[in-house]
Amino acid sequence: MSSSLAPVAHPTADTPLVKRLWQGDLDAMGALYDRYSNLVYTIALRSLKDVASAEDLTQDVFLTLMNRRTYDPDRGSLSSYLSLLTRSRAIDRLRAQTTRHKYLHQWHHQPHAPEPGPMDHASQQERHTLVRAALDHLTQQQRQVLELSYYQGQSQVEIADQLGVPLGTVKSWARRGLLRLRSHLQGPLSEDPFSQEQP
Amino acid sequence: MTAPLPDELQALAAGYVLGDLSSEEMAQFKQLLETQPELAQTVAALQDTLAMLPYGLPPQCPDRRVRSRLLSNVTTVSNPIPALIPAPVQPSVQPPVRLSPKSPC
Repeated sequence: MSSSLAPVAHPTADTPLVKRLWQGDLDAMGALYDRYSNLVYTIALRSLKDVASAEDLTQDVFLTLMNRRTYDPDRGSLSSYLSLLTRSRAIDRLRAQTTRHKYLHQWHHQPHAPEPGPMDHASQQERHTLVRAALDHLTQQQRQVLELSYYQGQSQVEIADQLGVPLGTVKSWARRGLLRLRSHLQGPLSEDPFSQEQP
Repeated sequence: MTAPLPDELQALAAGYVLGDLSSEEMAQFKQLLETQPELAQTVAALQDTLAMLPYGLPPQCPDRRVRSRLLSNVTTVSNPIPALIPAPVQPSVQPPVRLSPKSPC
């Protein structure tokens, strides 16, 4: 029963569907939901660790996509937009729940015009396979620190406290983990960026 | 010719993307960003890498009722003003609800 975070092939591109949604086409909502609900729900459940909350957040994310109209295709893919939106909403909810109420770990994500790279040609299923394989190259600590930051929004100070290791160690694990992840994602994906142009 | 970034610079770029630079490191990094344009590409690549993280998770499927709830909410929200012409009455016969819904994914 292999399943992926999103379907492999999309008969209609995302952007026209989003535009139809904004024009009030409810079928477009159904289509977008079928396409990305697994991705959104997977992140929501991983962050919130509660089915009811994750379901509620999933609905919230799709309603936000429809009502806020902040998705800009020139700045990145819909999957990235929905991932970031889900993650930030999840962390908002975690912060609201917690009495620790620390400042939100600041991630420097500046949207940039996406470069048409090999990743854009990779199917969702390939993405899943590649990322899982790349994550296997990280040490358990590197992966743990990245995941605690990403899904729980914990600051590295909090993570250091939780794991009982110096802050410098946590920083080093996170940085090396991210660099290693990139190098293992870069390899297979940059092999043949222009494969579509081959005869 | 662009030489590969030294490890220290890569680590700073990673720290920047992760948001864990100290104030001194941040000042240093911002200065470096101005003088070394290739550093911005590294930053962008690391941001993309980070955004890929969720694809490593085992995929989870939401229950089918989430979809129905969303679509019925959308219908309600998108028709806030009562129509002059009465909307057709929804057929009362709904598709059977499965007690153990088949996973949509």
